[in-house]
Amino acid sequence: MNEQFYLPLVVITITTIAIPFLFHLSKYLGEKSMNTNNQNEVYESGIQNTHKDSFERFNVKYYLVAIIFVLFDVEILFMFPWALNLRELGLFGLIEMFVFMGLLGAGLIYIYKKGALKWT
Amino acid sequence: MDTALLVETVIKIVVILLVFSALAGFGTYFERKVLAFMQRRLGPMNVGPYGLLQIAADGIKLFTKEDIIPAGVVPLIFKIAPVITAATAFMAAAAIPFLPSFTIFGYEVHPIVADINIGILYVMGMMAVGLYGPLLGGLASNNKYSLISTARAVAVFISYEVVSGLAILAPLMMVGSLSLLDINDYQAGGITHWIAFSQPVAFILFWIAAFAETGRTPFHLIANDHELIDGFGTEYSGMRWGLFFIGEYANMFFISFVMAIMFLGGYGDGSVAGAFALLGKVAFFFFFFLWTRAAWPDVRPDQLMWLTWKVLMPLAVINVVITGFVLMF
Amino acid sequence: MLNEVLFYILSALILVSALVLISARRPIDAALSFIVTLVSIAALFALQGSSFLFATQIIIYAGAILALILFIIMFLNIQDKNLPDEPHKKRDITFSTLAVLPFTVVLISLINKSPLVDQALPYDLFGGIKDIGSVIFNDYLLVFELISILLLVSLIGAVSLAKEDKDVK
Repeated sequence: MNEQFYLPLVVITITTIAIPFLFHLSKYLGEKSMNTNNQNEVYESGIQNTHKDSFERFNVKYYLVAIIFVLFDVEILFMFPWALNLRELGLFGLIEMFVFMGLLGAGLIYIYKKGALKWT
Repeated sequence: MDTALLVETVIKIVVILLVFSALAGFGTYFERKVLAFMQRRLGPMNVGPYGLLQIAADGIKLFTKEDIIPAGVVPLIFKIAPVITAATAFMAAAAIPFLPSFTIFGYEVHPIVADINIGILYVMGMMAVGLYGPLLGGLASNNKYSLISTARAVAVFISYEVVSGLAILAPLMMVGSLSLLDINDYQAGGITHWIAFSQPVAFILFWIAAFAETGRTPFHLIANDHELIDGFGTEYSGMRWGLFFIGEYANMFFISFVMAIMFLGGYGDGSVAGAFALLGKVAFFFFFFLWTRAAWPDVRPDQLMWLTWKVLMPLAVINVVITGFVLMF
Repeated sequence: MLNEVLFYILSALILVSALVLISARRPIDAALSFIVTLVSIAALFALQGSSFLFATQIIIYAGAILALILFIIMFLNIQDKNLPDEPHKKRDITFSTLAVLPFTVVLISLINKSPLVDQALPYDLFGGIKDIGSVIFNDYLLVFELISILLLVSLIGAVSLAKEDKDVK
């Protein structure tokens, strides 16, 4: 494979990750951390320690959105190679993709009907 | 190993990092000024002429802040999360041509770090990974505001990734290439060739999705100041918070570049006028981000979900279908 | 030269982060190392010149599926006191590694003995997404359409599993 293409990517990956890490050294620039208990308290609009920890259960709707997203994301990624080949594939390719999209459209309608995306 | 290539790449990356970190700083200044003028205030005025040195003052303040790691956080992940936001934002820049190629001292410079032929997919992928900054930061923070913000951030980002993916599909069908250079060259014929005119629906959908992916105002639920304090950034201070900030503003600039190149003709035929036109378009998109912030209220999370899945996504699918038919017949 | 060096660095990164993934105590630490694993695998694909696999790996695995996993971590509400006590964790991992080692050796020698088939698609410089498209949509059409049915089935399954149960309420 041609070095011309991945060498820049390697360099930009290393620099963009390394430089923000160097920013962490800025703690030596300012005041030394006093590390008192009051200061390290979690921010709760001035009231101290109402929660021992913040982990709470969430609405399952969030999970549902994420799982639907995964499926549609797969669909969209499959559509990219098709979009680039549209001219070569011609009408047959168009019909192929419409069958594919039709089935997923059916899935979308099923989601609407089941009210999976209703947030109220 | 090709030493010349290495040197060239390093110079390009350093320039990009410096320019866009500086622009992120100026971005905050412009934002404060624009918002102030729209609200009939003056904005920052005290530090330097017209408050211009405010940026330097903010930078010094961020760098010299005391290093606070609150109780109960997961320290390693708390520290890494802002790095992810900043790093992915700048990594996305690798596939974006910022200017047309020009010649300096007899050496031809291409102002793009790597002309990958999956350009736009690479940019989208990096922005998808950028999601882990807010996500891990909020999860590690041990603060309920951060956690609510995290859940919202993920729901918003992933929903709008579907919309932006479907929206760019229609232009790509016309161009037949994923590289931003090819997309730009496709529109080189002048203003009538701009994809924004042949694909207005895709343009507007992508523009809306850009607001969601950068977390700007109509979709600013992630860090909705009046209910979630600063969202996932609540527990962050000093330079770590600054990294989130640089990442956010750099993302705004990069997505403005992507929009200008994909839909508004980019730098056109590559002349000097074209280069300035590209910068003008980017400036317009950036200004539009600020304008919207001054003019619009935030939407509710449920409205936002309704908008994506029931309005924008069907529209995007119909747009792809119609484009397919038009290209065939 | 650079190619090989990068290959070994990425492989080491994948192995180490995968090891951290299974041995981390807190789920969130495991999630972070899982991101590293997935992104390194994507980089490995890019190194082989398969740009479509690279994009798929980044966008779907690192972008979508991991977000799902982190959501699950949030939902399960795991706290430190809920985590199981695993006093012999290191010993268990070592012994299970030793147990599968013979199998791995057999597998590697099998792969080495099998005839090499060049399955690489013709690519221009950084891999060709266009060539993959023409292969999928001309030669593997039926499989492609079956994928959409698979996706539809999993969509319906996910919705009916996650929807609220009215009887229980």
